Amino acid sequence: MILEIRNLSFSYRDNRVLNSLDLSISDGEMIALLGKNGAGKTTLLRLIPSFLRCTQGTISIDSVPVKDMKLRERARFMAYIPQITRSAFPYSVRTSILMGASNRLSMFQSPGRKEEQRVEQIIDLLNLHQIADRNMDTISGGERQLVLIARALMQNARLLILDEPTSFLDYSNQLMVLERIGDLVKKGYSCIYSTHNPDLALGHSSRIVIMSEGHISFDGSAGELIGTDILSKVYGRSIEVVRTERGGIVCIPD
Amino acid sequence: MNAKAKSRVVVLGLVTVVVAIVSLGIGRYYIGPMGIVKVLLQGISGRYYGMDKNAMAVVLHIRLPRIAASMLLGAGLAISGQTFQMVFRNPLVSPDVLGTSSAASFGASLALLLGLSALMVSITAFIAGIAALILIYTIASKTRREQTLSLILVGMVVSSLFSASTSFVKLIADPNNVLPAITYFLMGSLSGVGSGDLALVGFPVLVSIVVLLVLSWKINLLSLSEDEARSIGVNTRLVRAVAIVCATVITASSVAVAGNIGWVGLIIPHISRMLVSNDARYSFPSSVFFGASFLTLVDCVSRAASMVEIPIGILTAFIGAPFFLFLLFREVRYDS
Repeated sequence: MILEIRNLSFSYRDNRVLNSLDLSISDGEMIALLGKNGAGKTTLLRLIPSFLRCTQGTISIDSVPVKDMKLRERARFMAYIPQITRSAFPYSVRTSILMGASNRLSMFQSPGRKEEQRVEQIIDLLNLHQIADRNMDTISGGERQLVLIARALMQNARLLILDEPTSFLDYSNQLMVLERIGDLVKKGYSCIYSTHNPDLALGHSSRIVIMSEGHISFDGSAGELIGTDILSKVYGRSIEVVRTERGGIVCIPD
Repeated sequence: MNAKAKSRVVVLGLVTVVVAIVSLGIGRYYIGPMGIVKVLLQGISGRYYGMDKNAMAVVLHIRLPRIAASMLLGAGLAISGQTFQMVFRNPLVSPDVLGTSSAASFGASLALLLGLSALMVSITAFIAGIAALILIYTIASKTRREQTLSLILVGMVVSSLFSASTSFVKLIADPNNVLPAITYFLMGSLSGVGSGDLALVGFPVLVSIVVLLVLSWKINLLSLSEDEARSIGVNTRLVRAVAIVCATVITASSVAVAGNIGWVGLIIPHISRMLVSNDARYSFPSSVFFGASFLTLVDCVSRAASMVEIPIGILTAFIGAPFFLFLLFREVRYDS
């Protein structure tokens, strides 16, 4: 599955947020989206599943425009996981995952045994046994993200779109969530996520896309950032990207 | 988890049956539960089970319509309140959130002012309630805000307009006979509900309850954020519209035949979520059973506690308000 974004522009009233942007995402890619506040990251992520209508350009999956797909059809290709999710009525972890099956049910249908069995498979896959019987408001932020990812898998979505999945998480949970996503990407899923932490992006991505002022200013691997001043320009201060002795890539602000 | 919730729903169902049988016996002319079962068997099968004519008449013609009404409206108000709470993602919302109760109250007051028959009062109230919903939806769809928020805001405006109109009707009503009639009607009482009223609202309320029960899984998804629900692939607008229409039909019907019965639609959903589950697949049926039992029991108190019948709207508030405070304090403690 290839998601192609061509010549995408978007404006909030007169304010142009995205400007002729091109991007493609293939299976097995984990793309980290970097950029300052207001660079258009969230707008781009919300445009992909057509939550916003682009003013110009196309977004297509295997050459089929996303905006022409029915909601249910689209849900089988991609899942959008927003930054903060707090239901007024917190459901159990199992019920929350089960909700992902709704795109295969008709208006008046409830999930049955088949869907419940699939939930158990996904709990196995993501190793969520310890929290499976708990309520969403009693688990940690990182675990909550995992449940939302599990729900996306329940949808059969291949592309996971995550808006700042690591914000509000402590450091170990940040790593845990990104590592689990990395495991899924190795199995052929693809993922695009935004983050304000360049270090996390450098360590957990197959590609880094940097946005500034509504367009893409960098699109390449973490290794290509070593020795460049690209991050410095984006964040407006001197940042060095270096490879550690163990082979990892990190950034160090001066 | 699910098995526990399911068994609790079944228990509540059985409790409801017991409540129905017991309350059919309560009143000036007391009949024990076994007697009630015999009356019902005699009524259904036509065979003689030893119950006399008086008992048959009291139970089948006087109490049965009233208890059927309290069961139906209790169940309806509870599930309607729960639906509104989930649609608006707010546990403090009650069935009158969109102003349909105010509109229906205005319809009833106007009909009483014009001296229309009891049946016409109900019909006018029902029509006013539904008309208010159409008005609210039309205005809300023209705003550029998120749909749920604009519905609430427009609902508030429409609600206060209709409340003012009701006050105006009261102002110009004859203070000797019409004004008391309006005031008494709006207090909420099941004393005036007869078989005619049941025939009028029974079918729409029952159908709405069934539709909401069948739709319960999708209503779960409405309580997520708009982006999440759409990401899962649910047409939130359609589900929300059907849910709101059903909940409104119930609310308007209730006001049309029994005036304002508050609190049921607010506290029963809370209790059923606390005791059963947040999952509407279980909390909806439990609200239905709980609401039916609660309103029927309160109505028993209303008609049997004193010589003069106490309007049920007053009693539900007496019970509901302190209970709500209890919930509020409980939640504060929980958060801290």
